[in-house]
Amino acid sequence: MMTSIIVSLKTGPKAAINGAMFIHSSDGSYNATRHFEMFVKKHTFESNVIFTETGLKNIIEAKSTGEINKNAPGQYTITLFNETENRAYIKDYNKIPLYNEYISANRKLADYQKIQLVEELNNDYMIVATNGWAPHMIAIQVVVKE
Amino acid sequence: MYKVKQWVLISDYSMLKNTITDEEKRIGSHDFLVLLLLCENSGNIVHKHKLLEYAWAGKHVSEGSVAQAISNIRNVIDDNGKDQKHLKTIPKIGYKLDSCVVEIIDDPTFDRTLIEEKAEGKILSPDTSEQEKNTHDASIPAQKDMANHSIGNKYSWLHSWQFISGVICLLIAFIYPSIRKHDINTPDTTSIIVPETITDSASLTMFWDNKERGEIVSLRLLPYIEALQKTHPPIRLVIMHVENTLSLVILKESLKPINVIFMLNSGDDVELITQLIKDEIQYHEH
Repeated sequence: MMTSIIVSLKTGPKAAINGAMFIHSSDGSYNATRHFEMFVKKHTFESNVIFTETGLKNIIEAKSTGEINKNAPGQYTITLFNETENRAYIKDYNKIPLYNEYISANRKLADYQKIQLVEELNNDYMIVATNGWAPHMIAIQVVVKE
Repeated sequence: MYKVKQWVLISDYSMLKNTITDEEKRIGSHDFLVLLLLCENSGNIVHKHKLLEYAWAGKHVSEGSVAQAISNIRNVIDDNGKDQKHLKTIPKIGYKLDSCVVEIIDDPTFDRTLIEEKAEGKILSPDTSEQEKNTHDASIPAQKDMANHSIGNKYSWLHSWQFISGVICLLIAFIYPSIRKHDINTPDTTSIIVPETITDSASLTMFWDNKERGEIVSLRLLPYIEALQKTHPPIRLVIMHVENTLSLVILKESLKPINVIFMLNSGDDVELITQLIKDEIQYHEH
């Protein structure tokens, strides 16, 4: 979700961004999926994130609003204004890193989440890296509204 | 200012001072007020209620308090309830202090200054006190000035915690913005997430935080990916490894990129990581 915010600054004041990722542990005991959609206007955004993981019994849907700040060329931080998510039913507390990251206090700090542009691809795609539950890299799609 | 026998009443300090021996006696503030009222009305009977109203203004206390205060005063002026030499009890009405033992002192400044000097730690011997007394008469204005502007009073605010904390707050207010300004102008290098580039070819781009391990993985993967290009539609792989997270972005022509993230264990070796990547490519090959 957060990684895609960066694109808004590249694409103009109105953009819709989406992406999906699959997360696995190397031993195969943990699996997760995360999808997001985001709408950016100027420096503010609204996003919808849906994810689930091995330790959860249900799917978590979270809605966020916030602001994007540019630190240096290709480097950005975001600040959350507001966030709501549905209730989580947990079956294994050791296998919910995504949910733990989502509810962590650190994440609510201003400019805590960092985003770095790695590469611009063809067909409205970009590769960005971000911190989060762990530093990771994903490709995101950007659709600009005229 | 009143003097009862040899005792001078110093009202600022609720204190009695012996003019002969320089002895000082501090008495309770209520006792002092009772004595003061008796002095003001020396030779006359002062009603108990008047004493109560004057010395315990606004408080509800019994007449026993007055009796106790009178007893204390008698002890100080060498009197007692039995003899009642100077301070007499008028049964059921009040008390009377003989006017013959009460004097009104015209110049109270001298005594006040002495007390203040003592309070500042400048203890005088009886001889020097007399000497001071003599010199004092000639310099009353100077003494007054000293009393009013003694060093302790003048600079006492310097030692107050409010003043010190105020100075500290002001210093922080002036210094902190300049520090912050410096921080803002300095590039924020902590936001760099992507590590060093190990390989950057047409089919494989790799960022790895451990160069040695990254090169080994790159050497093993490159032949495999190049072999795939011959038999399948062109495929490109972007890999990033930071801490225990391995991110793969699999790019195929005219298809959406595939994002796969592996959470590695600290004991996972290069061979296992290479095999994970190969398996993932195979899985998404078609």
